[in-house]
Amino acid sequence: MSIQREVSSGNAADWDPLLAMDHNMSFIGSVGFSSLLAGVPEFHGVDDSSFSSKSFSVMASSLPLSESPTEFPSVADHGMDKDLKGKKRKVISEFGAPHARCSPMNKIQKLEVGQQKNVSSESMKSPRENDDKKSKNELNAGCNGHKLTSKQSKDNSENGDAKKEDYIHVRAKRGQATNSHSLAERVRREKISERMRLLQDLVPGCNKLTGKAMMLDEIINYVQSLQRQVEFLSMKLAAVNPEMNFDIEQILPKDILQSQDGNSAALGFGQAMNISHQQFHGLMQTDLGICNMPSSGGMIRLNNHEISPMAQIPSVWDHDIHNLVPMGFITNPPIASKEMNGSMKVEL
Amino acid sequence: MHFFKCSQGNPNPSPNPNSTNLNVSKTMQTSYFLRAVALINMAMPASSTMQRGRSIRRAAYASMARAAGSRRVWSRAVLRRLQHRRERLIRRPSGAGRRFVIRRRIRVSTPREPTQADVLRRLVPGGKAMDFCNLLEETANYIQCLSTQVSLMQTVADSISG
Repeated sequence: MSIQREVSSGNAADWDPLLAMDHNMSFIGSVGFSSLLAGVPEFHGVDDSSFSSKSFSVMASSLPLSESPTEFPSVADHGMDKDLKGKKRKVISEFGAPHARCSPMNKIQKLEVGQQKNVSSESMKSPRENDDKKSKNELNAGCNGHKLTSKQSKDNSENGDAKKEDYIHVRAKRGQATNSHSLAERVRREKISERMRLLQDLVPGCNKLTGKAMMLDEIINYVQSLQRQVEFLSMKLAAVNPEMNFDIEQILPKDILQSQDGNSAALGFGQAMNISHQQFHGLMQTDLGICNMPSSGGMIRLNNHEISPMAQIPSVWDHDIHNLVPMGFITNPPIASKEMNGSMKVEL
Repeated sequence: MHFFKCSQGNPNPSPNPNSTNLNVSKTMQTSYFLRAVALINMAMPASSTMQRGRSIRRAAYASMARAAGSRRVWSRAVLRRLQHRRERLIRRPSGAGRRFVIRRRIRVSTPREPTQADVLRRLVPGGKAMDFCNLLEETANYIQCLSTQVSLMQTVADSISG
């Protein structure tokens, strides 16, 4: 018992500098492990009943200094991180069984935290979360015995989730492959699932459906139905329009007031109409071959007195309107000009 | 901001601080579509309903693409399609002396039946040259613009006939 107390007090003194080195993020090397291994025989001597020699040899074999140095470099290696974490877990479980405050386990967990701090160079916030969770873990594990590995692993995977914020730095969760291809694939899959969730919000009636195939079917159906609606409505407009007086002034404010924010939209629309008024005027003249149209602002008469001097308006809108109307009708300008005799409403 | 720069050239984008970009883009879409419809109705009153309907449909897609701007792959594809059509029409303005250009498509027969992704690519303009991830994003934007356009057209149709 006295030896144990000594050891524990010694631990308080011995392990702290190592923890400090952890935080300096440069410790991973033989230094930490050698002191750990040096510390281990003490435990071995202290409590033979709890630490079986088998467990010690397991630990010794898993963290050798000289024989297979692959373990140590792998600690610093990103790719092998997962495997080492798995191995460390096993070690912790075996040590974790008997002692309430098991310092080597403490140390190993802190080592892991240190590694993870080394490896993930992004925000320091998430490793600190990890640290808190781990300190909680070790206390629990100490009390409950080594059945707790699964709980630790689950918490660990949650920590892994918290760390994977930026898609550039991706960490492999527990039990997943660390191949670079698999990581990239996992990122891609998550992007796809995120986009599918966005689509789920857009397409009505998609909330209940789960599964990529069903949702894609629904999305395809919705797009097809929307396109069919556009076609049907365009036919309807074509059929209806010639019969009635087509007065834009009446239609537009109503339309805009119906949609959202009436005033601002109307005001913005007023400006837009000013722009388009000029363009439209010029458009009709050039496109239809109509010259000398007397105040053809009769088509659209909104705030006529505030024609804003936007000379450099890109005429991109012109181009598109050109190709909407087939060019065959250019041959009958006289008819068109007769219609456009400065009337307020366009009678069609 | 980018929307105004590339498609409208409007120096003061929002006169009212409350008006969002969405509202103004809807406004632009509305104005463009109505102008186009007015032009179509004025310019070709004698054509058949089918022809006018097709023109109005093209106007709808053009206004959608204009409102979406150049940032979207699908809007660029729509505008490119319309531009090709215009160039074709300019080259052969008269219908009388039309030389039929038969576009021979070398069909590479795909033995498997078309998957959902292929169908979606066919539906969304410009979808052939996108990977699946971007295709989904473009589909989302396309659906948004399509639904805006449909509601706009419904409003216009109701106000005319109502």
